[in-house]
Amino acid sequence: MSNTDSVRVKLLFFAKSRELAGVSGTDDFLVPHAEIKCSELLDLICNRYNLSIIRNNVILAHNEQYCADLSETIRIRNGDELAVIPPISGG
Amino acid sequence: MNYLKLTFDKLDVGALNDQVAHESCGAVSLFVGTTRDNFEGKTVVLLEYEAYEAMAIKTMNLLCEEVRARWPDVVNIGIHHRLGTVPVKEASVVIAISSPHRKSSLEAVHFTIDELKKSVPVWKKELYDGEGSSEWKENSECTWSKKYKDNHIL
Repeated sequence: MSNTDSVRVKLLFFAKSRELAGVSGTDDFLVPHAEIKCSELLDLICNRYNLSIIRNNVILAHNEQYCADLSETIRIRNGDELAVIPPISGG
Repeated sequence: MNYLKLTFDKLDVGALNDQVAHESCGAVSLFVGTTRDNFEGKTVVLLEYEAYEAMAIKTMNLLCEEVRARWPDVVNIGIHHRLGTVPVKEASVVIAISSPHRKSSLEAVHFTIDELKKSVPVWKKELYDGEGSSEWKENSECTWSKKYKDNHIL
């Protein structure tokens, strides 16, 4: 089944998540399934990059669009861009 | 026209006003967000801003579309947000909107700053006086902030 194929994506961190991760991003994050639930994806990223303490107060963006609903399943392609978005504080 | 910019330079309110002003308009409404020198008794010495720049501009564009849908007579919209180090009292954001009559631009500016605080991916860190302590701020309007979640228990 094609949805079990893993994909490589670009991953970005901002603000507190960047400080906790110790890097601003990677071009080479492996997502195990092309179709994945947002909550599962967020868990993977948080466990891997030392973000567990802020896990419940961040959301993901996929190709510059918020994934507001964690229960949603998204489809990811090679080269897509994911970003960890801590609570924003602009203005 | 929409004039959207993220910049590490000092913001120029007059310049954005001039850009947004239009001969068909009787109003330019402005909002200038400035950096405060205190938070819960602590003295703020410095503020640092950063953005997910591509997404911030994209989100600002969507916000402009929303403004134009709600106030179709709005002519020009300018949103400039500063990044990097912003000294206390200086502008971190300027919003300028023109319309033929003042009602639309006044309402649209209010809406735009509220929505910007909810959805545009920009972050601010306050650095406090003494011991080098600092804190990433969270807008209470942001639905995934701790403050919002505490006030909206599901």
